[in-house]
Amino acid sequence: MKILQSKISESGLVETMSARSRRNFLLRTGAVTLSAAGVAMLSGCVNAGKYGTADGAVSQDVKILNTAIGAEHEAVAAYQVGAESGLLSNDVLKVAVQFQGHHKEHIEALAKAVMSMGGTPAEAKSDYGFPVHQLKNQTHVLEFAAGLERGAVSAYAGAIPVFDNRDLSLAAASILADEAMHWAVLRHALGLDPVPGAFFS
Amino acid sequence: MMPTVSFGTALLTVAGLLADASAASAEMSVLTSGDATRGKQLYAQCVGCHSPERHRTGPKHCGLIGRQAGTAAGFDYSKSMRESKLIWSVRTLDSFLFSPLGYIPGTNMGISGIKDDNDRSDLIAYLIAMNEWPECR
Ligand code: HEC
Repeated sequence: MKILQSKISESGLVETMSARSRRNFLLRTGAVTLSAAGVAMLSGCVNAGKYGTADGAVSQDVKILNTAIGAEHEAVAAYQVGAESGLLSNDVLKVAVQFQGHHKEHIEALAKAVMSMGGTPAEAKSDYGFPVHQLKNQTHVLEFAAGLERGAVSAYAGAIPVFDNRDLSLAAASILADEAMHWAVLRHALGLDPVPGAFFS
Repeated sequence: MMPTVSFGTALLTVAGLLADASAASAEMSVLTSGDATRGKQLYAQCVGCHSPERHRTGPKHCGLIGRQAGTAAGFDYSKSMRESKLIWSVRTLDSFLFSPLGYIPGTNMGISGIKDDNDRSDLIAYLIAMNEWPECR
């Protein structure tokens, strides 16, 4: 666990910005990218008429979004389990809470999109049946989280080509980028090659 | 690169299922030449939503082969999946995984699909091999 901690410290992960400065930073940079897609959703541009989209295509997009929201809820819950496990060092805990925050922001953005299309956003489950008994140390928690982030990358990579509305593909790509970064950071913390290849599907 | 081909587990399992009269169907006799070990690695693409032994965003995969689509107890499937009346076999899985939305329009599994033939066949070998796991029994 020492090694993991020092790895994380070395990587400067600990020097995460305060919540407020991070938020401002996101507003200036990251969030704008998401907003480019998000804006279209929020301003009601996501409607059948403008893009000549059939109702069926809209409802299929809503389904895809809701599946993504479901997976994001699970990620939030998983980080919660990790955070409450008492197995994480302070430094790692900070990172976990930060990543959990990102997943919450993803849910917010995706849920707004669903509502703008007349759908009802998927809700969190009351119980995810996580294999909690298998999480005995920090490495287990990090591996568990890394697996979820890796899976999320695939889920978004798979969804991007099938959205009828390209704005949603853009939003999904923006989220994918974030989750890929989480995955890399978690792998690094585990002492693994953070970026083990050139292509991921 | 030549994919490694292993017949082992997948073949045995399918044979085992065939012996089980209730699960036997003509489709099941299509043996997979997939490599379950490679399939396990490819399964990383599914674990955002699935796990073998528990329902997540997607249904659990234990006991998949021979099961009617959309019938695992305790999972809330789309109407499209429930009404597809498909039985999961090597053949139906191959078509579904190639293009979930093309094969079952309206499914909640909104991903474009696995386009590489070897990848699908290795994944399917892994899904079949799962049936032998203790946690799937
Ligand atoms: C984005 C999330 C997501 C990803 C990624 C995903 N699935 Fe699914 N999968 C689902 C959902 C949701 C369902 C239920 C679909 C429905 O009800 O229409 C499902 C259903 C299935 C079914 C039908 C199961 C049954 O009980 O009838 C199979 C088989 C399946 N998935 C295999 C896979 C495989 C193999 C992969 C990886 C290559 C994969 N899925 C990736 C979400 C996903």
